[in-house]
Amino acid sequence: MNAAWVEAFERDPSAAVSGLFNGTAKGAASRLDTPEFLVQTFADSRLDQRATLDDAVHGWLCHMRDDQLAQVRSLGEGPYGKRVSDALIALQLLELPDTRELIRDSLDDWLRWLRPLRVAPERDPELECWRLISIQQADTRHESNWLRLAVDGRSEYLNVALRGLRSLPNDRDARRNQTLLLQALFQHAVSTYHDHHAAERFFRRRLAALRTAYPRTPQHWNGVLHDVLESNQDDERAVAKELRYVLRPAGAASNSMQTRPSRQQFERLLSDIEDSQQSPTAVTDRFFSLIAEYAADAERTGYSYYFTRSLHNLANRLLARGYLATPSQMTTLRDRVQQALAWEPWNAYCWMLLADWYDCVGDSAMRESVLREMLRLFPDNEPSRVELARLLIERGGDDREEAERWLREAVSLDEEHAYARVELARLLHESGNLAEAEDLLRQVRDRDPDNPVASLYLGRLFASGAERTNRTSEALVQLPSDSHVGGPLAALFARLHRAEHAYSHRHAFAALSEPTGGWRQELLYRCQLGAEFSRDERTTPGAEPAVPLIRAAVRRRDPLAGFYAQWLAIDETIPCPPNAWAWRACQLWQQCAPSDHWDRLTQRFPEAVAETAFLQLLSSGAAAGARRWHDRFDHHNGQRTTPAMSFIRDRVDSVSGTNSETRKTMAFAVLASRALEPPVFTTGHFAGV
Amino acid sequence: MADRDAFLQAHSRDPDVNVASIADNCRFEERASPARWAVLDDVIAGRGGHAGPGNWDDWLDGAELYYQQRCAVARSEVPEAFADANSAAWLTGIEENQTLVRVENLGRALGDAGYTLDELSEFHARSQAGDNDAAMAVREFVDILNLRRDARPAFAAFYDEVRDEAESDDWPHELRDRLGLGHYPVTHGASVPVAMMTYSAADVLREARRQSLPAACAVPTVLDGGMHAYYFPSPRQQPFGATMHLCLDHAEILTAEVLHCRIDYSPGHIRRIGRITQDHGLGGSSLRDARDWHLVALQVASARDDFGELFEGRA
Repeated sequence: MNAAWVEAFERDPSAAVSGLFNGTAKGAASRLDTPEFLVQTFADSRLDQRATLDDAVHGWLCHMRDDQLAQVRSLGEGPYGKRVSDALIALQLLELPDTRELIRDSLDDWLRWLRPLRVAPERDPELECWRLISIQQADTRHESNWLRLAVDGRSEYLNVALRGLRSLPNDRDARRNQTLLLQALFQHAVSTYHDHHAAERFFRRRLAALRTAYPRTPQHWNGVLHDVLESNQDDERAVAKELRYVLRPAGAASNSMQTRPSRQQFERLLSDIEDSQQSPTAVTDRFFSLIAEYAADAERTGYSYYFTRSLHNLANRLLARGYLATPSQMTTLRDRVQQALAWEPWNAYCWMLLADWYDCVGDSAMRESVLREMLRLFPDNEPSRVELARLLIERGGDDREEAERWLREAVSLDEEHAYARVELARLLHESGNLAEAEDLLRQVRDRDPDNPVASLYLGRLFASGAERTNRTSEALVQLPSDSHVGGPLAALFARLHRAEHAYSHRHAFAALSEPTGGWRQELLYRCQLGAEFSRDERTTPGAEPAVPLIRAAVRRRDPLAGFYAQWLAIDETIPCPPNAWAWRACQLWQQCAPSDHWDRLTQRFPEAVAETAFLQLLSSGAAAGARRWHDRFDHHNGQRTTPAMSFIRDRVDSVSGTNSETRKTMAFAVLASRALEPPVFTTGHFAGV
Repeated sequence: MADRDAFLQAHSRDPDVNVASIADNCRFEERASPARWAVLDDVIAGRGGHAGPGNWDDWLDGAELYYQQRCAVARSEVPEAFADANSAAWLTGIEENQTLVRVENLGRALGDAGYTLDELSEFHARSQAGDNDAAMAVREFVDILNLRRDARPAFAAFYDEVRDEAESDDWPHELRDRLGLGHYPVTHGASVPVAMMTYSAADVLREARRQSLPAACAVPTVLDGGMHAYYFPSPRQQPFGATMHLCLDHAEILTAEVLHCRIDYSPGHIRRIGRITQDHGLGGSSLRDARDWHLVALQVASARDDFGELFEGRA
């Protein structure tokens, strides 16, 4: 039946594949979906024919991506998404390798296109993309991605995560896969269910199903379960505690030979880093060795808490002391930070460590990219705002204006935040606004009379300019000695020290080879959009936005650019993709939409229901709304949560008393944070263990 | 409409039996409403960028798009078969206490679950023998299968009418042929993993009520399943569609089929698991003959000599 199509394929593969997806080429088999048609046609085909098909499908997908707007206008969202999904399914069913590897290498590019196209669980191109890369995994780089997908409350994402974990190479030790599968089920249960009975039922049912795939003795499974529960012992969420209690197998003991480094090892190293008597080389060697053990533990158990926390705690101190002196040490550290972010892309400390790393090696463009992404993802994070401001101040010119904006935002985020105030005071001082600078520094001193940094700069302020003669005595404040400086201030001093004196080894890192592509490329791209957006926000109100990059990206229906364009009210009649929450929510926010519109958005995006409710509350300003929001979304489960949710929790009670400008700022923060997920840190060069 | 009629009339004379059969199916259709045809015409004209049906490729392109926009829809939408535009074809008053049967392709779900067909078959057998772990594995598989399926209308027959084929050792092929599943020809050494799903009409009606659908069941029309040569419309007098048998020797056998709304399967709905490995062989002149036998059977059953047009003797 497929003879005519095969003939056409041999003549012109691209045209034949295109004809297949638009339905003109299937002939009598039209009732068959395209992937199944291709499976039947290519089941026993020659390798060269499959390679040609692989290439033609890749070409067709790229065409559909590049020509998205015209295609959607012609086909409609549903058929467009279905055809793209079908192509990805065909690649799965036929196990065509070339396109799969190309997608693996530039996952962010593909996800940015595919994610907004979802219309239903069975019509979800992003999910098909994950399914595709779950096949034939040559290494374990995606382990952290599968575990993150498993935490998604949607069953179809859990199923794909489990498939990915089952297919991970295991070096003849399938116990590794079993441990990760149970870890995925545990994390899904804890994240999805607020009732521990339901979580337990879910876990036991899925465990039973796994036992059919891995027929092993009860003792074996009890050992695996024991290991998984042990690795989660610090999870303080209520459901996690209950689950650990009800699932703990009686008398089971770990039959794993590997263990995590002890807390004493960590604390000894921490103390030795602080001890100036210790040899930097020895301390650094111990650091890398300990971190390697923590990383191996995360890979083995699927639980990354100890790895990521140890990494940023220890590495920060090493960087501050300038102990990492060789390019090879810096490269290893960068790979570990990348690995940590692959595990926990919402970990702000690891993000800041990455920014610091780029600072140390003198890569200002990447440092800016990391910081801009941070301030988008983490609306409550002051350090990223202050650090970006410092970078912009260093650059000078117009960027100082933007720097002032970020510093003012950081100051507004936290009344106690001395660091942002001091930086803002420095900036104001330099631009001649001495009165406000002094006021800020005094605020810091009033709250904390022993604050050494405020004292230092207040002294400098008095000692400068026209006021020098009158206030020199005030400048001679007694600065506290170093011995009084501890905790966050120590970190601040370390940062200031590094900034003021530059990283002493920076020259040695100038030739450090940085791989291109992957998440670096993605961060640079996002940074360009973010910077353009920020620049435009400072232009004259009412002026036509001059944002060529955003305009070009929105024509590709990029969800982040679409949100920025919507916020700037750019007059582009681009249809919003079905699954771009921030873009759509921004439309409703700007229209002051009635409640039934918000209700429809809630139904359409169950994963963003709390954020939608908050925006609706901001839009209406109803006094009773905060209580309802808490009733619906605060489950007192000590849940791990997204930065946007933390931001909302801290502000929802104050909504009714705020002015429209503050509400607008809040709305922007939540929308921006949810407009695009963090990049996938397993793309490009990846530090495999 | 005149354009469409002339276009279909012309293509019903095409030497390619697939082209002629698709044109015939549209010409013989008596249930699809003018409103649905008008939508199809608009989609085709929109794709071709001109008024009228254009050439055959334009027409097929538009018909495929119509199918994807209106029939093979995501579960968040209602297929046109159960929307008001198709009310003339709705089946109402259907008895709940009867069993429906259909054949499901398991290829995608097996890939997702990471099972082979043999493994699934073993789990299914063990679960029926009371193995709880195996029952959970089958349940997980059915969940995956459900998540994979969109809301396109399901073609189903009645179990009591196809009991012999369903209970045969070679049920995958016998049922495939009886139900007219011509899109499972199995060429080039491929095989199709399938499950025989049986469920009650009550399951369907309950689901339609749950979703507040205007209708749960309908008689199939040419617009509901994509354009292909193994479908044949039934005369308006018959309260059911009729599958086209894929075995030429049995081409006069009519089997009632209906369309119903999507339901979520449960493990109990899987009656048997098997594999289609052989081609049905119906194509070219045998397909032409089978369609003629089928048409004669329909004319007799509905006492409608004027229904359709035979290939034989066609100028």
